[in-house]
Amino acid sequence: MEPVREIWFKCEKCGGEAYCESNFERRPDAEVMCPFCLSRYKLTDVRLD
Amino acid sequence: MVTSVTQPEAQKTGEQINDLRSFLAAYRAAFPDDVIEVDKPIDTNFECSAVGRHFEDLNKFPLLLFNQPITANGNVSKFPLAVNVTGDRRKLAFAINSTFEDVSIDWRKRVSEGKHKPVVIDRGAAPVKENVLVGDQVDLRDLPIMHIHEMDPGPYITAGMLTTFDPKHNIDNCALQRGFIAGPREIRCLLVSRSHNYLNYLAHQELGKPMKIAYWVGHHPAVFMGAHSNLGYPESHYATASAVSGQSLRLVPSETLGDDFLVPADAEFVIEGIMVPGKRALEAPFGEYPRYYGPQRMGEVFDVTAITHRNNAIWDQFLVGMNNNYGGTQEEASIYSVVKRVVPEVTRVHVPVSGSGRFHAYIQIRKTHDGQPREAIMAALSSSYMIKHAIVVDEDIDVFDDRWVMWAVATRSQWDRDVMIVPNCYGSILDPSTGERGLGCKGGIDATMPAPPRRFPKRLNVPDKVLDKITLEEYIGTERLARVPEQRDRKARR
Repeated sequence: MEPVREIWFKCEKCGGEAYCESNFERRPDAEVMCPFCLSRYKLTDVRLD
Repeated sequence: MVTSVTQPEAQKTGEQINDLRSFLAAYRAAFPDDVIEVDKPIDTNFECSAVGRHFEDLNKFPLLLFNQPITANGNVSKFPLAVNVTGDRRKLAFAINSTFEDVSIDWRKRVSEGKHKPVVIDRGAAPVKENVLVGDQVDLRDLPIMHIHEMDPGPYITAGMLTTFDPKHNIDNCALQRGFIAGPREIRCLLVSRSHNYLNYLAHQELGKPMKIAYWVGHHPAVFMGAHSNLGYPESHYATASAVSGQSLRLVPSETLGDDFLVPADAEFVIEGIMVPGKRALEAPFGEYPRYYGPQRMGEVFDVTAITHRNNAIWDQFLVGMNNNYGGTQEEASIYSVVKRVVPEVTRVHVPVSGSGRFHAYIQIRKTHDGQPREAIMAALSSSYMIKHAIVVDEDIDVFDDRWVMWAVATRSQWDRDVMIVPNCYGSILDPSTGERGLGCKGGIDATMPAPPRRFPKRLNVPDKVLDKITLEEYIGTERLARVPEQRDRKARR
């Protein structure tokens, strides 16, 4: 299976979907920021795929 | 080496200083219909980009001046906003007294032949020091910085020349690198890993020292183009800014970064600050030049220490991802020189907007041998990691018009014979079709006719002398001609 280029996530507050670089998954505590409402999450909590 | 003077040479001689204002005045005088002022208040949060997008749908790229932009703070800014100063090839050509076709070659020629060197002037003579804000006086959200595309997390500096100095030689480096406005005094940047600003960042990291850094925004496009020229490392971009603009770039010491950190004296704005190596924060997605959003990443944090600006300063913004003539225009001269070494019969190169100003190269040759197209393809593909597809055409094909290049592909190539494919090459990480770490495939198409003495069917023509004699203006009239509808409703493309 081809490695992912991006990791998609979904904001729990506004429902917006966005993506971050694939290297985020190498850091277990990586955070992401919803670009629509700027809410922050642990990537593992909001990851879509 | 920068020469220090107390009175600028340009002032002594009465020469017009090249700055954004002198360009706007000259361009407006030459093309009054191509400068549009918008006096109604309009939000920098998407609304200004909607205007840009509507014009792009019309395939028109006027220089837009928004006189009452509403900032991220919700207030009407005291600074006007200029858009499309450098995004359009015609304006680039005008800026360096060149032509639409030759602007790239002339840009490169000026870089290599330029005789002018930068000079340092006193603070009191520097327009950019007319207003100085330091520390808590700084609030980036007071500036009319555009929030361009929907998935961008906020306003971005897009026409800021990000400037650093290498710590060993103290030579300046300038690059067009994006900056996300994350707070009143915080910018999160993208220092691309192959960029010379990133090399300076790594050098400071090795020394365990913070890196001094500045954005300068709003200058004559010729200065902007010169500062943004592709150079070796470390080489002064202030020197090439002087060379391309044909005038000594006036520099002035910074306010908060020391006297040896020099910034352009005639810029509209300078934003000063420091970057602590290793300090990163979330940045992006951001709508980038391939017309896709680049992914969220950890951006290098630029802590702002000061903003200086001219009276009635004009903020300049680049509509990234719309009509990208800028990046491709510079690339053409590099490709041309590389191809010229192996195929002297190359006549023109164009890097079109249809390839996002990066990925396609159209190469026109005066073909005398059937081996030339493949040589040209190989040279073009290796000239830059960005160039992904090279299409070689004959002299009768207008490389500035995609329709004719695609027509040549349709009628002069057979892909079992004329296509080259080169897998596993460097590609752009922002090209969403590449693999992990931007690993990609390149290719070329020979869309030329067979070399002489072999003959090829003749393309359709109306006799030239009749074409020259019969004009639409004469037979239909200018006013009626302007009312002829476009072939399709452009909104249908969305």
